[in-house]
Amino acid sequence: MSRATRRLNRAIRITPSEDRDRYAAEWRGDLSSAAELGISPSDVARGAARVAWRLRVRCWGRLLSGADGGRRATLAWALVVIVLPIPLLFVWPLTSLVLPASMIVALRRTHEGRWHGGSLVMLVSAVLWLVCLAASWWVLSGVDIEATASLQAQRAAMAWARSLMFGALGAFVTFWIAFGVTVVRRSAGTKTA
Amino acid sequence: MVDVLACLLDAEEAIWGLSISAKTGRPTGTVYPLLVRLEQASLVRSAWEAANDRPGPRRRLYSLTDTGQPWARDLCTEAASAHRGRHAARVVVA
Repeated sequence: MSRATRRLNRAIRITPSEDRDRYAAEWRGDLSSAAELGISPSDVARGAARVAWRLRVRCWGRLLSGADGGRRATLAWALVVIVLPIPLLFVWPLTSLVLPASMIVALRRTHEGRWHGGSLVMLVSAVLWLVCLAASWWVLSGVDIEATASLQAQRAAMAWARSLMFGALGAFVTFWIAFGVTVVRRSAGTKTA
Repeated sequence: MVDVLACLLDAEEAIWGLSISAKTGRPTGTVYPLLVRLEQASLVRSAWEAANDRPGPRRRLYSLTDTGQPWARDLCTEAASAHRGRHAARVVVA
């Protein structure tokens, strides 16, 4: 089995089950005919993988926004709340890259060439999140460096850091709520159109 | 996006997704997701080709919908006039 075929099979597995049959048949056909048009089979597999992830993310968005039913959304959010702390605890360096990356992807998804209500709220909360995190890191590292500082000063710094962390958490939650609302409103608009 | 839309506009019949990629020279990683987005927005429709004597697997064919046709034409015209404007500005600067 060629590398392109293996990659395509992976893409098919990623594709949500309701779309799988349609795209699998199309991509398999395209993969076998790609050479006729001088297109590399790996290119077809790459395209399939991009579509598969797009469809998967859309499926997760629908699930979390409640479009597939309230019970399924509640279960999905419960799973997110349970699973999210695990990478936060064990793979902090990776998470610190994944979180901003996922926020950039979400912003790009909702921006679409102009800033409107939802994407503007997302941008502001992303900036606020970053500022609060940077400031809390600065306050905490300052406490570490000035180990000789009085206990009172350390307590004051910790109170600041706590407030900043709450601010960051609030901004983070606001960002994802704004994203959810924007996605739901857009999908409702598409259905109406 | 404009060259993909131009390709769909130029085609007299529904066109195979992979041949759009070949005609525009854009990788399928760009063309496939674009077609999916346009289809989700009801600007493009797709269907399996009718059974014929051609050997090989069936192909998925794409065409612009009634809403998509004027939208694509407007976008292509807009892009062409913007391109002409940029070209004219370059000539003036040169």
